[in-house]
Amino acid sequence: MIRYLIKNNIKLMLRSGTNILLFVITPIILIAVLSSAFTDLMAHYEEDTGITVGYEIDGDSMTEELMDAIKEGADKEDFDLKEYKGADPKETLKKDDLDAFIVFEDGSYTVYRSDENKEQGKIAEYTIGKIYDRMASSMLPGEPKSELLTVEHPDFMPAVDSVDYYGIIEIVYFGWCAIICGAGLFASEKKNKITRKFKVSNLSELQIYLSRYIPIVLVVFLGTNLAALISIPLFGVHWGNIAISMVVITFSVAAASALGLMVYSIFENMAATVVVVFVMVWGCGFFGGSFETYMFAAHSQSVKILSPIYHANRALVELSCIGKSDYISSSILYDIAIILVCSFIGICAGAIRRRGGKA
Amino acid sequence: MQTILKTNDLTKKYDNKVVVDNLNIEIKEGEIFGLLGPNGAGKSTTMNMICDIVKPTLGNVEFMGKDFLKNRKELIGKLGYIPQDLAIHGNLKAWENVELFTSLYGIKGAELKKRIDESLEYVGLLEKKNDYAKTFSGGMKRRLNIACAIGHHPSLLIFDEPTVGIDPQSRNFILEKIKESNKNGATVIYTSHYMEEVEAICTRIAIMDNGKIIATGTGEELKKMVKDDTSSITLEEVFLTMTGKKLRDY
Repeated sequence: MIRYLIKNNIKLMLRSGTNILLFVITPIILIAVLSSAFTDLMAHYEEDTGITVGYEIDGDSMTEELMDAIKEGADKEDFDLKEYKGADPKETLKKDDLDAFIVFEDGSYTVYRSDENKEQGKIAEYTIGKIYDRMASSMLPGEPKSELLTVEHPDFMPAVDSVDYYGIIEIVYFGWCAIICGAGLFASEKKNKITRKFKVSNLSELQIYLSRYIPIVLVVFLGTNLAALISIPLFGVHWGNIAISMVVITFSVAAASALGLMVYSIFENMAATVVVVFVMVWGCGFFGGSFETYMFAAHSQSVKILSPIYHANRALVELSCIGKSDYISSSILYDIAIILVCSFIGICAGAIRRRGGKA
Repeated sequence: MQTILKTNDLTKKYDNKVVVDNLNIEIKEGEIFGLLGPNGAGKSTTMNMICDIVKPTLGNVEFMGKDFLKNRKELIGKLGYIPQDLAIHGNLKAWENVELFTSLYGIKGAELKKRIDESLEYVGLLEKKNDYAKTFSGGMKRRLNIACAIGHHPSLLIFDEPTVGIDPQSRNFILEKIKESNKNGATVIYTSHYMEEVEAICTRIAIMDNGKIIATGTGEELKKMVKDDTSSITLEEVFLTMTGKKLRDY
């Protein structure tokens, strides 16, 4: 019975230009603005992020023999090695803005690290040390030459690109504003007192709820996923696994729609619904990473995990970076819980209004 | 003629204000029953209680010999409600509006398509079926409002002021269609402020004031209650005599 109601409600929503603007065009514009701003910013810093190491060989013939191979290894690790002769390590570090200075001595070496670039200094120390040890040990009889330049890399999470980060979080955030999609429908129902006519039928409260819920989910699903797909050729947003990402976004949209409809069922006023939902979504977005600069986390983990938006953001960003995420299941389960609780409250609120006999 | 609708001590109170007061009306099958009353008389609340849009504080409605609320599921599909407000979506086409409301009564597929065309043809809008409702004139919207309520072939049609704000041609068309529906077997309850309309189409008229029925009868019977010479008095004069000339500011 509600098939035709759902179909016509979908038509009403799709005929609203505001929905296309909000769920497809606005996220795309924001992705373009935010990602380009941060890409430019990071490009400025990236020029200085290469590791530059100065070195001096202090009369050791063995190290001199190894130096070509060490340079080859350092080059592979994107290090810039600069040779010095008779330089003071500490002064040279400061003067030439080096990340580290290594003095090769008889069978050993000393690493001087810059206080200003501690991290780069540590990486230089670790990498050069590894190369040197391998080189030195390979000089012993019987060691295989092929291992000469291998360096162990610690397991780490690659940093997310600004385009990917904003591409993902903006689409998730706008998906959480799903209830706006129903604004035109609700306004028309209210203005023309259409829900009164529903009362002169056998439509149950559940059916009325579903006739609104399903179209909102479908239309916002189409809008957000279309925005996600457009973001790939337009900005090169990397979604990792697009199919799983779409599942995560869809559950997010379904939860957001249930939340919005619950609020609308309570207030039966679109303006009040928009204010309440925006405050809730803004709060979840604030703690969920939607407004953080993508390199820095501003809130503690214990606060973040309370936000459903954080779970979705984290799952999608990790899918983008490493192709997998432990947050996929928590994001979907959190969304299912929201769908069930909010739908139950929404249907009950509608039924109470109807039983109250308000015309 | 059998009774199709009966209200038993139907009462509605909002806080301490009695809007409908122990209302007892009986409508026979095949009648066009006119309900007249000044603003705030309780006409719309009565209609809303009959359609189960508003729950009565006391009393009940019997429809087709059964308690309406207890047999709602079975009986609701035999009721067609044409509200005073234009209950149509402007951003839907004419046929989509009729489809939406007709499908609420379990009609689907080819039968639904047939009923859509039938309803639109009945109100003279078949040629405009693919036009958006928002592009329609006031009269066309009123006719579409009617088409949306008749697709499920109800036995009782409730018209709540269906001719408000439309031109004489559209009004005449709607009144003709109401008479046609009645000839085809539908019982009609009709509320309006236009006395000449009510007099022209209703077989029986009730005048309601302060939540109560103060007089019932044919147009002639009502006139006789006020003046023996019925040719020298209009229904409007009868109405004003019975309800008074004091303004009703609600």
